[in-house]
Amino acid sequence: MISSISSTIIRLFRIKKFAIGLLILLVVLFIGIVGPAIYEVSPTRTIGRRYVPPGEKYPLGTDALGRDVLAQFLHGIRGSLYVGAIASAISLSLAIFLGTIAAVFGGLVDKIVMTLSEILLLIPSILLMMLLAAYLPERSLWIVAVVIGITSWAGWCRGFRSRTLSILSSEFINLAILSGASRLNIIIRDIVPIIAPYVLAAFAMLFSYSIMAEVGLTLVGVGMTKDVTLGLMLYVAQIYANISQGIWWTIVPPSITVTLIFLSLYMIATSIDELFSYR
Amino acid sequence: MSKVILEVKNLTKVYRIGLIRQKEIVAVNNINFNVKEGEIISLVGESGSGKTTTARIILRLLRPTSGNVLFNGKDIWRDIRNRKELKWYWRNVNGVFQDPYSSFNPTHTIRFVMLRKFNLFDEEMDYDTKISMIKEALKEVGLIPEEILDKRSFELSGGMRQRVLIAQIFLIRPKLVIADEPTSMIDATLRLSLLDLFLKLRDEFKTSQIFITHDLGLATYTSDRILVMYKGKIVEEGTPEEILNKPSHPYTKKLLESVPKLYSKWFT
Amino acid sequence: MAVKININPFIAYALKRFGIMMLTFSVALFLIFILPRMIPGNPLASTIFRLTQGGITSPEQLKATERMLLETFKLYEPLHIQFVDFISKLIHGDLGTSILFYPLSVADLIALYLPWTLLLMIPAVSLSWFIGNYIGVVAAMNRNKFVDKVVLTIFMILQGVPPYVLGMYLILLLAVYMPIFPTGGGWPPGMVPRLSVEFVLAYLKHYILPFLSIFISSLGGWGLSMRSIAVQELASDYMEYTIRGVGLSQKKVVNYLFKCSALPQIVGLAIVLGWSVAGSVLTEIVFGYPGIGMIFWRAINAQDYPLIQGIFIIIIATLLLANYISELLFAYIDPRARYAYVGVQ
Ligand SMILES: Nc1ncnc2c1ncn2[C@@H]1O[C@H](COP(=O)(O)OP(=O)(O)OP(=O)(O)O)[C@@H](O)[C@H]1O
Ligand SMILES: [Mg+2]
Repeated sequence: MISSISSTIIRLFRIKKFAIGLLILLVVLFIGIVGPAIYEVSPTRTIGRRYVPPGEKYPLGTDALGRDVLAQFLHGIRGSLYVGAIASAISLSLAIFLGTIAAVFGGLVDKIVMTLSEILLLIPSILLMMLLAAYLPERSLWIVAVVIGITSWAGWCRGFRSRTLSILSSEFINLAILSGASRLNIIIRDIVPIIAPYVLAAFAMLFSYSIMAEVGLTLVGVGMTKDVTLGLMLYVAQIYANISQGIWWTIVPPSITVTLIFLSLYMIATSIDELFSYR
Repeated sequence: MSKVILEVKNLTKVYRIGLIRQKEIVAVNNINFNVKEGEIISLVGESGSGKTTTARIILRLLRPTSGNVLFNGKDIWRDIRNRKELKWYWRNVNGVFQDPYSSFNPTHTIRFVMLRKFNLFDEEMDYDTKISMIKEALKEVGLIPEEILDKRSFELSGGMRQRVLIAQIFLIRPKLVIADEPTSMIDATLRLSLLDLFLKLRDEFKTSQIFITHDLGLATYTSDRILVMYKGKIVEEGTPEEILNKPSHPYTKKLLESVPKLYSKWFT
Repeated sequence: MAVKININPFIAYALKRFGIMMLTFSVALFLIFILPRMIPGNPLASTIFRLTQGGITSPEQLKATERMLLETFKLYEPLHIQFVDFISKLIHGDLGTSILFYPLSVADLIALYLPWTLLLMIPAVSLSWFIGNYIGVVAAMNRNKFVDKVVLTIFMILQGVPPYVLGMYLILLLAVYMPIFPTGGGWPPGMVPRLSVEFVLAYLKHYILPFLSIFISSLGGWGLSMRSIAVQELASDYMEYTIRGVGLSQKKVVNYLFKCSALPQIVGLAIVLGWSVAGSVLTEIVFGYPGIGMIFWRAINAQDYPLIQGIFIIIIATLLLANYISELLFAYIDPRARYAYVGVQ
């Protein structure tokens, strides 16, 4: 058991794409977790003149309100990671739960879940999010994450449903029963190991999707209002027209980081998928 | 006269599909037969005739709509309820399926698959005893245990996988084996050697067998008695000689026309 | 026993999908109606209260706005009557009056700004569809070779860069550091849209950057999906036969492959075009481009609920319609799709 897990991990690392993706992700995670603790400057207090370019005093300069951009950046990464984690945890749980019960129970339950997810797929989740968020006056990190989470499970729910269906119709489940395996044993030893990589890939994709969605929502003006995230940094830069003034230091760090997070998770998800798609 | 171990009485299975406009498919329609100790019977029929459905009901994987299956006089749905009785039943009645590809969980090693079968054993055994029994069983079916024990199914060929499935039968030595088209997805050249394994099972352990196939030729090769199934019903029953020489049902005659000469010439 | 009626499967499929579309639209309408009224603290009521209390200076306008808001939302009525009113107004094409752009009606505002969005999105998306797919086919032809790997990497990165981020970089690069293009807007301030050479040229100058950002950032998605479709297509027996047996030139093969694999992608194009109104919101904001996305943003920031509501309805309606058309298109092209849905039971 242990040897098979470690050999899988070794195989994973042999995929260059996975290793690079993981490395980028770990660096971003590290910065987001440790950064704010080391660099103890408040991201929300005005500490100097506005638009001071990066230099010795302020490593990444100051923004339109004279706040320290590096502090904002570090806290922003942390905030965005929080949003990603909460939102993807919510949508992943919904997707797994609904997809599995649709497959297992079939019939009416299946019909309801499938219709619901079809409707949700037809209405773009970004619109639903805007609609939800537009009417919520005060929007914290939690609210934004929940809004993202409950609107983005539909596609993956269908994925889990079809995976579960194909597992349930596989002969090996019958053979496990004929081997006297208990229901619990079948779930743990047969179903979970096959679903797990898919869950991991789904988590990675949903995580990056949620981070992107938060940026989009906030930029439109229906996202974060209270906590610092990468989206909020871009929003502030946008409303103070920093781009056209050439104030690059408030734009480049958050936008590059968002792209890096997306890319690293995309690389991880696709390499997990490639490795575990048994022929 | 050997004793009857399995009785199938008035067995019927109706599938209901669709939610609003329900449609009924009568997959198995009131069939009756029995299996004696050490006997090999074949269930022959075209695709969709209800063979697999029958097999699954006998293996207690699927509940019949009506009718009974009795094993050693016990009704398998009424009299077998708790885990202990279930294990006893599957220790005595087990199966091999058609598709050697979906018969294995791709995340499992052969070692795990084989070890799992010990669930069905009452007696306590230590790991080494189990492994040596497993190796014994794998050798019986012509596999080299050391080479395959730690492999996963996708590293094995279709024929090897089917042998592993049969090795599980050699391991538990049930009273009755239900083999649902065990050779249909295997290369034709390997078929006979797999069939010989089933004959060996009978010769060594007196295992009764229900051999399911759509190939009348294969059925005549292995079995003592042949049941011809057509649209959920058993339309003809007899020894291979009887079936080959004087088939009564038109469907059997049609089946016979498609049997390659190779088999039939042994009986004429 | 049910009487078996033989309906043309295409019509059966079309009807079924129409049902799903209408169901979805109803759900969307219901959400649009219920959300502002259900959320704790009733943001709609408090906004109306706030707006009628202050912010608007002239007393006549205040009165008019107040009357209009009460008229639009009828918050004093019970919920079900509000709903019936909401739906019946909708059927008559009445989306209410904007607060921000008072006294313009929401429908007029949408009619005024939507064309600019379409003018931006349709060419950009279509062109990137064509070029992205073409590159995808070429990559598939050279599978696992150097060209393929380079294309794959670039496309993957492009997929991770949303159009609005790309837009920000384009502005920084081509409007600020190298001031070739204006930094935003649809045309120079003070100019009035009309069909003159002078205006068209000025408009094009403002048009190029937002166009590029949408064009480039959607290349990746098209290219990657086309590549995988074409790879599968190449592996099929008949392609093998066509290429080997007939001995076509490389260029002809690319063209042929493109035609074979483009079918599913056409459906994707229809969907994305339907999406384009929603998808352009962020790009328009970044560029200050005067389309529907821009006024949506302004509506949200001014809490102009009638306008927000109206734009939502329009976006969802176009989207569903585009999706429906693409489904029918697909079923028309590929009969398997409709049989799969109707079911051969
Ligand atoms: N789970 C199910 N739900 C609905 N109908 C089913 C189900 N399983 C089988 N059927 C139907 O029951 C009938 C008998 O199927 P069965 O699998 O028993 O046939 P078979 O003789 O084993 O055929 P084959 O040679 O193809 O394996 C078929 O018409 C089949 O479509
Ligand atoms: Mg079958």
